[in-house]
Amino acid sequence: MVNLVTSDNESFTVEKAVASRSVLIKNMLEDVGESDQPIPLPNVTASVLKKVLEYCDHHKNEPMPTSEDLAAEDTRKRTTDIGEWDQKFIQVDQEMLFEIILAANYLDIKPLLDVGCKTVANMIKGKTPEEIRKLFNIVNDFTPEEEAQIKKENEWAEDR
Amino acid sequence: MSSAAPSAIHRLPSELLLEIFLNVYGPTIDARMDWEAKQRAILSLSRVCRMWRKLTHECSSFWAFVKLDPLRPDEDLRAADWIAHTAMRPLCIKIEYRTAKPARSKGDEVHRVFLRLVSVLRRHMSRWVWVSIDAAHPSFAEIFFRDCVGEASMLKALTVRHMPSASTGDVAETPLAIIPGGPFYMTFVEPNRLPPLSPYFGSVITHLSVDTGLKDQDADSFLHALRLCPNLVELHLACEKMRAPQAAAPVSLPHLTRLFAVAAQDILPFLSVSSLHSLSLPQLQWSDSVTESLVRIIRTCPGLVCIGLDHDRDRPEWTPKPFSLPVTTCPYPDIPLPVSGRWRADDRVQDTGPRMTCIKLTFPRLGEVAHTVHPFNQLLDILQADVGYCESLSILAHPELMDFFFQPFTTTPSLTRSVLLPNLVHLYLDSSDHYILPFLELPCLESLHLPQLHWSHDTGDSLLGLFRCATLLSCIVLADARFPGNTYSAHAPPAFIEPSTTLPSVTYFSARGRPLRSESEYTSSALFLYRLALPQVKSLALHCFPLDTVLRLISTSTSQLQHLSLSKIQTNIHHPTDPLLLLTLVSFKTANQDNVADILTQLRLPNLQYLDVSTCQITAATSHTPFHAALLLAVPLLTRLDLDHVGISDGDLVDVLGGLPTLKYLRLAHCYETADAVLHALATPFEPGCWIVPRLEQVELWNNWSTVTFGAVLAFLAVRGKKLAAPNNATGAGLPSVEAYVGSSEPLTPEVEAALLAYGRFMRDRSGAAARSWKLFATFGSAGRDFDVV
Repeated sequence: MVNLVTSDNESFTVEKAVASRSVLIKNMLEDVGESDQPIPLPNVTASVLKKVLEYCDHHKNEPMPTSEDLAAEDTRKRTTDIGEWDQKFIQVDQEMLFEIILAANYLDIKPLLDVGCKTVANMIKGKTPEEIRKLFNIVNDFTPEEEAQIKKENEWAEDR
Repeated sequence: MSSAAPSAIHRLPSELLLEIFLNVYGPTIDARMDWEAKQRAILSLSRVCRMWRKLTHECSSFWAFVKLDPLRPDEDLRAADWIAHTAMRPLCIKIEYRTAKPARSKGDEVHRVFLRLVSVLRRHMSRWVWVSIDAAHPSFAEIFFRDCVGEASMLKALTVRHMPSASTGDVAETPLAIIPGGPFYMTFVEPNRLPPLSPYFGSVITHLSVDTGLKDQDADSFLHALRLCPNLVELHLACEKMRAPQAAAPVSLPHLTRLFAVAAQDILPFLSVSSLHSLSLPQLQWSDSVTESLVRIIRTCPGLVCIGLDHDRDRPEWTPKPFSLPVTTCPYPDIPLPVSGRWRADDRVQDTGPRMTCIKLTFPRLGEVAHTVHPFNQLLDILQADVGYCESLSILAHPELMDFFFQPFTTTPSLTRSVLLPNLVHLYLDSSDHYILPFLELPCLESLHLPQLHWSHDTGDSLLGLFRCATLLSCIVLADARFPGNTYSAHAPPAFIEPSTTLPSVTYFSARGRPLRSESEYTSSALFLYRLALPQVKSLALHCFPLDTVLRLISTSTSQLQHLSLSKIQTNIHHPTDPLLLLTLVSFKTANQDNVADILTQLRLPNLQYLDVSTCQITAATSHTPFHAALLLAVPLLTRLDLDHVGISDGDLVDVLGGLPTLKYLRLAHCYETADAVLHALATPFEPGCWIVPRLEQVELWNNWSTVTFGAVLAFLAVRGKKLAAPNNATGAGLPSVEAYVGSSEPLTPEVEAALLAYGRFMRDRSGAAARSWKLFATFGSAGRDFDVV
């Protein structure tokens, strides 16, 4: 078993197979060898780690992505398909969604990072800039000059 | 979310935002296939805020595909602006009109824009990877090939649509300098003629495609172009008709491995090829010289692994020279032929030639044919040696030709001894007679497809003999001939059912009887089914049989059966039995079965998850049992119900849904009797907090638009739908929230559109636009369906 300590000082004891879905933790475990020392995760809160561990537990028996898998996931072949379980798992509010993405990035859990990024991509797809701003509460901070340039660009894409 | 709250997405570092953008952009490989959507997506992202704009502008991946339109007055400026974002990335460039062709009056203007455009593009020639030009204006190709002089060292593919006609002057030899070595694809679409290719440029081309819809192409022009491309690996010629060459000399293409040529009778005699792996010649007009060319090609290409030949049915017939090969009497002498075969090149034995592992022979049926067997004999003579090694055999032929095909395997003039095909795994025999069946010895057979069975008194015995010997047989597909003649039938199932033949290896079985003349008829194929037992069958599909025949066969396969498909089953039962319990069945499809409820009453399917009912009318008059009552009894745990082209009233459908507490997915397509009332019923609790179909997660509504309105959809979503802002907080907490997918042609007002957007994505189907009838599709929640964006 592996003991993980979150930024808000909460402790999680999990199977090694579950924790090792994180390449960061896996490398730490390999570095320190057999040890009871808790592993601090200063960038992850308890509520987020709980969710991340749920993902890791569900996928613990799956083979780890190989470098070839990662290469295949490069920009040339990416799709936004998400598995059924993962879709349900990632149905969280935006705050949690972005926290999960940040945690997956920090913990180096590529498949979870992909699920997060694809989910956000799916939310963006097909939307106008205004709809995207509304969706993510983004402020339109363009200068009038930039707005003019954008207006010109609009003609570019017109009727395409 | 409050407008004062900082955007959570801004917490993501740039590299993660970029990762998301790349997911929005989609695969860059084959990006030119959905060029427009990608351009829109990236422009949309770049207009959200300054940070996103900077990110998208700095990622050159998004800008490598440049689509230009010479009809726009400032297109050269736009091109320069766009290319400025690409850093030094390789470029894919497409120049095409938005409309079919510019007006004649705009010719000069378009000409000037194109000149300026080419001037911009040629500065980046060293980065061209893929260039496509729609040269609908006669001067375009001329300007392009004149002005783009120099080295295009990365160029791998060049497509030119429309070449100027000869009357507008010759196109200069292409001055593009390509680095030889890798594959280079050259495509001409609808050219009036092919341009003269310089020997250097021609030698670089490895893949050439000429696709023209125009008739009367000049074969000399094609042959001349081919002569200048000696390194061709693949050649694709699609031309409806060519003018015979005037003074053609042979064209040697020693590296050609794939040849596809439509109506190639005029160029075939001039082609000299020795490395072909694949030869496909559709719409061939047969002649002596074509046959001779074909035989020559087959004999000189030891690596040929695939042949596909097809005659041109619209051409006048050809009277061949007297038959020269030793053969057989054939009472039906006129057989043009598509023949195709695949040899396994790697198994080729030097002294015996290639080993054919797959043969497909297709012949028009008698009455459609007016040709000779001569080419067939010649080709078969060459192919025959390897048929014994065949692993997959498919023949559609007249019995006499079938005889002709199999005869070399026997030592007697007619088929009286067995034909051993020791390696055959798949067999497809489509013939009006199956006298061959008793003679086949197929110890490795795994799948058998007999689509046109004409039953005679011994057909059943022949089949059983074949089944018994094929101990690996796992898939059987049988179908009665559509016009079976006077075949035997009875008006009752056999009084004495003989011990059935058990087929322990069969996991898939499909049988189609002929349409029944009366409700009490038992056809030969139905009677044959009484002689089978299929204990291991997992999928069973039966069409046009009496219900008690069906139930008898199912009763032999109750332990493993997972998928059942029934259609046009007559519910006549001579010997009533208890309902069959099928514990392993998970999916049940039924079509053309108004009496589906009566069938369901004969089955108990406690673990059935998926029921698909299509093309039927369900009313009180069509079954003895109401549909909802039958479902309640037979399928207590259904999770998915699909109704397609099913006539069922709102009241009946609501009754059905009321009895399906475990249902998660509901699909209604072309159910024109279904109206808003069903959606209202789904949206209205029958008591506080209690809805029918409480576990419903997804609804698909397809083409029910005459009766289902967006108003009802919105009312339904308001109660059961998945709100975008709070995906897990739909009204009716405790119930799963529902995703809906709706197709409708109902006019969409801005108000309705805005209301729909509150529930998720909303997109238009672009294909509908092409068909001039816009259809609106909406998908709510995260159903994950991909459509072109608005």
